[in-house]
Amino acid sequence: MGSVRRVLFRNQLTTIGTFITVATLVMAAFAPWLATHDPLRTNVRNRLQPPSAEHWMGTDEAGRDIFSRAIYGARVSVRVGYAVVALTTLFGLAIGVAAGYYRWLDGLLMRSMDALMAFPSIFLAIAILAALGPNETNVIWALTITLTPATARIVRGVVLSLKELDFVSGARALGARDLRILLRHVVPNSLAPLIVQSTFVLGVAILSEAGLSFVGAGTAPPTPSWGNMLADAKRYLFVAPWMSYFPGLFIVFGVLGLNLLGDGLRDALDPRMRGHG
Amino acid sequence: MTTFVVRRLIVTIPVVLLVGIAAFLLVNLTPGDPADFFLDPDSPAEEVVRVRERLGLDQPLPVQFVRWFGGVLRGDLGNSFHEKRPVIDMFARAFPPTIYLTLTSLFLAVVLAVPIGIFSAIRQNSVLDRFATVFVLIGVATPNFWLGLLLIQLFAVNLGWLPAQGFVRPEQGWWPSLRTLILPSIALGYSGAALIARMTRSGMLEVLRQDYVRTARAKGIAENRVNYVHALRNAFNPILTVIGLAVTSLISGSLVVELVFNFPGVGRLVVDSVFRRDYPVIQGSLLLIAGITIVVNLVVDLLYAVTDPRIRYG
Repeated sequence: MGSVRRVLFRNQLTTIGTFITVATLVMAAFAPWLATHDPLRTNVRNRLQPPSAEHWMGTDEAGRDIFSRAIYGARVSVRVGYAVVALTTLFGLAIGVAAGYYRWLDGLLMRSMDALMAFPSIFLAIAILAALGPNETNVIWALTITLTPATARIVRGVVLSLKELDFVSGARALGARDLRILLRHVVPNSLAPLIVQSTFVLGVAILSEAGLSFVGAGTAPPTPSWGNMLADAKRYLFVAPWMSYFPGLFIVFGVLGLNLLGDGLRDALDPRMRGHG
Repeated sequence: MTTFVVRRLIVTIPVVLLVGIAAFLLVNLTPGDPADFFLDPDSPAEEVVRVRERLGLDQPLPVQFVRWFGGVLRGDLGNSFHEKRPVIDMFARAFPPTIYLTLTSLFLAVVLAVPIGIFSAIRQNSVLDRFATVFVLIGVATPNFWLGLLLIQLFAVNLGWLPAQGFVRPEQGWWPSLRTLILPSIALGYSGAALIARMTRSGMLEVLRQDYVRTARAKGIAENRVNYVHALRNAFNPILTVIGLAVTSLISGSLVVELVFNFPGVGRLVVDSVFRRDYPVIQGSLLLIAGITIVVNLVVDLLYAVTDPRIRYG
């Protein structure tokens, strides 16, 4: 009975996660239609207003509507998050497959990945941004560099375990070339863990982008991002606490949704994980 | 055991070297000439050549790297462009606050998370387990700097119990010092606690499903003894792994949390240096922090061997 309830609880959570994730995408895609105000229009007479019927989440230090800015802020998170997922998947797949499949590349590639993983992620990202200059494209590259090693490791693990299986040696015995084996057998079998990993990379990317924008190394004002909105809020903590509540809630829900979806996908795609929670 | 330690140390060497190369290239591939920092925009060409020679910038990159890395290994991280003093001195000043912050956060996280993880595994699907799940889910999704802002609002602005900003060094009294550490440690420690609780729970669940646990139960050994002696002992390694991971993520998180609390640590130093484009400081901090991470991972690996004899002889 307990386990049945557990499964139902899990399913509910997965449904909630899917809903939040889709909602964030919709918010980003249809921001101009959903926002009630122009996110960039300042109105000093209306500055630092608490939430009201006109401004659902209040206004900031320049009199801009926080609700509309938060809606537009989803665009930065979604753009950065999905770009980072696409790039880490691409590089992680390439590096992981190469390391797992070719013994002679394994040492060099994986030690390099270890070296990258030795840098705490935000420190590495911020150093890369210091070198490249802070803007959205460079945030994407910085996060790609910091997050690729984890994906590469997962792919390598899958490849190593597949390589010895009969269907792969069978394919090789039949004279299939490496590239064919990789594309027909190895890549498809890496997909399930990669999809799960993607949802977590997305969550981490969104959190990191917010952190980088918060310290001033990410999305530059006046473009609203959840992180730089919180940086503004920090300066008005004593007079306008609402400025910090809402952008933070958007981040928590966005990342929570992705993690719930990821857990659900892992349970669904990997039968061994069923019931592990 | 000695062979294991030696083998593990040898594997670390290429990683250290690659870390050095990465930190070196990061700065040296940056557009712009580091010599510009020491020169007026309209300096004569001879002056530029002289400064480049003094900084060793006229040498080929590999030579520059060997010189620089040799210095690093002897503890010389160069001088700050901005403050004109050794990076190692600036780091020595900024390092203790970050260490205190990381250690108190780690302590909070472990003390809270390990019991939560163990109990929710033993009482799987109970109300407590459900609460633990929610605690974990929210913890993993909450940005530490946002939690910091909320904590400041509640405990510093509204209640006035704790200071909102800054750090008092322990030399000036341990209680005032601790007071400045409480809020930042909670802000930083929560996500670590969530991570540790989640891994402890799944590590413990994994062990509880093993045959020898079933055998122990079948033999009629008391439930508590099965859980805490037979099972927990074998769940140590996954817990250790995640605590090691948590240290890295806490160091990483400290960068942003320090900014929220105006904390004079390494994170602040790095962020300030980024805005001043003070590359030697950025480079030096990156290296030292990577060095710490490598040492932490090494210690965790060696501890595995202590808690699990199979690794020692494997």
